[in-house]
Amino acid sequence: MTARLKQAVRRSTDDILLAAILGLCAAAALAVATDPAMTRAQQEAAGQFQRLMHGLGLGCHADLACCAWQFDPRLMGDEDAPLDFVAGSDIFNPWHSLSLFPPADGLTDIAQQD
Amino acid sequence: MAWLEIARTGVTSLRLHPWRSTATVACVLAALGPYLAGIGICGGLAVEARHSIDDGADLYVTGRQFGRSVPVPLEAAEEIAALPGVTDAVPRIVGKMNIGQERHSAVVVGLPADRLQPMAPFLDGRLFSDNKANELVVGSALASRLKLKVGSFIPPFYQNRRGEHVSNVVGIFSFEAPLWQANMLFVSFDTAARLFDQPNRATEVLVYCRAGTQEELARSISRKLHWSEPDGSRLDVRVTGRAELNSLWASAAAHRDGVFHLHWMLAVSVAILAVLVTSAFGSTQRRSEVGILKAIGWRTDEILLRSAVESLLLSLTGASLAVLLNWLWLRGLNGYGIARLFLPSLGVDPQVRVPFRLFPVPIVLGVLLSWIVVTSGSLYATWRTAMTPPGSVLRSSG
Repeated sequence: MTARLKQAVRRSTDDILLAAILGLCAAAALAVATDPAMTRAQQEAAGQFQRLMHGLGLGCHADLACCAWQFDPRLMGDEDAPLDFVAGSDIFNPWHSLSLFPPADGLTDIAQQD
Repeated sequence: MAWLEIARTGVTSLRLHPWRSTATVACVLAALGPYLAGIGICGGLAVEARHSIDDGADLYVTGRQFGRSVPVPLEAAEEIAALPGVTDAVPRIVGKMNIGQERHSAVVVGLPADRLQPMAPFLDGRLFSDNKANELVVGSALASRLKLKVGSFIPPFYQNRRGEHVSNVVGIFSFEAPLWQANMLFVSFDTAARLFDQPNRATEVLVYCRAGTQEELARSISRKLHWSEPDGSRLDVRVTGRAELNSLWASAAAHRDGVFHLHWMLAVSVAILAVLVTSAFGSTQRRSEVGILKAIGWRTDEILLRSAVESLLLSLTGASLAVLLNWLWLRGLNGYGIARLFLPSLGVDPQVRVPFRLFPVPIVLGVLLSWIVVTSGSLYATWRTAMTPPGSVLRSSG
């Protein structure tokens, strides 16, 4: 009887664990599925902002101080794109986004406007 | 049915080795978390950049000297507007200026007040009017740094030969407006000209034209328009069209992908720890477990199924946690503390809505890759042990 009870407890623990994992997966899937609906208002605001500005901002920077090209290449011209090469990767600029290694203090970007 | 029961023992295996399971999930989380955050921010930026191209002007005309973009004379807007096929030509000033005692960098954008769209919902206060006063609409991050509110006055922060004036904040971009407003000073064209003391120049002319005439008009502008400076030097024009912007954006996205590959390599090197945990560190436990299962009559394929289910559940748990944590942090907490890692010009508290968009494909690929990494760690070790006679397995594992 005790062995049966232990087996039943083990089985229900497994069921709870499996349910928890599947619940986690469902929550993640729900987050991905509902994301576009949540951002619809933001997308409308983005469209209105761009119509107000007649198109401004195309990169990952929010100002012109670090890298004007990554604020909006329309302000610079495409030939001025400041790019470096990284072995084993693609083309890279330390002022661009997604960099774990920020630029050293005192260095200036070749794409600075002034 | 028997296979289902065997698959269920994969859950039991998870529960029997909580530390091994926790360590593996943590490794998957460490590998997938930054990847999904980066991909999510890239996706958000891409969506907003698409608006910038699609809802912007058809052509952008700037001056060109020494191979670089330079301002054009103000009369360029009128000359371009007179060309056949042009429906509108709007002069714009975009420039950099420092403001405040700490010399915060601001992006000054000047547009004629009569060319503005109706009141924007992402604005607290109002847009500027076209009068002689310096009326400013300030970006959310800049307003926060300078502690500005609607109605605030700013003492002169620029130099002009005709004298400087106090500026009045009439509006502040709300948090919901896109990233590029963060450090903006949005003013009338005349005010921008006063701030830079450049009364007769525009940094670009924004051209709208009839559908299908873009390319022809771009060629026509490049061919017909050029000016001579008072000193006799020649000023050419550079025309950027929507098609060129689309290809430029695609190329910039490819560059960012390149940077991201580097980071993904770092993440995968962390994921290799997961392989070590599931194969090397957990091998003694796994050997004795497999030996016992073989001794009580389990077949090799049944043991492999149990191991595969365990790996699948571990990678699903790690990946789901990575998605949820990213979603909560970047959507709920607006990337507090981590947005700066991906968008370097933002502060610890971004003060602007961080662009973020989760797309299913990279998530599915991430889950698949994490399952391959976790499974390759455990499945081979399990298969090797299962192929060995159970007696020798049990003896060697003590």
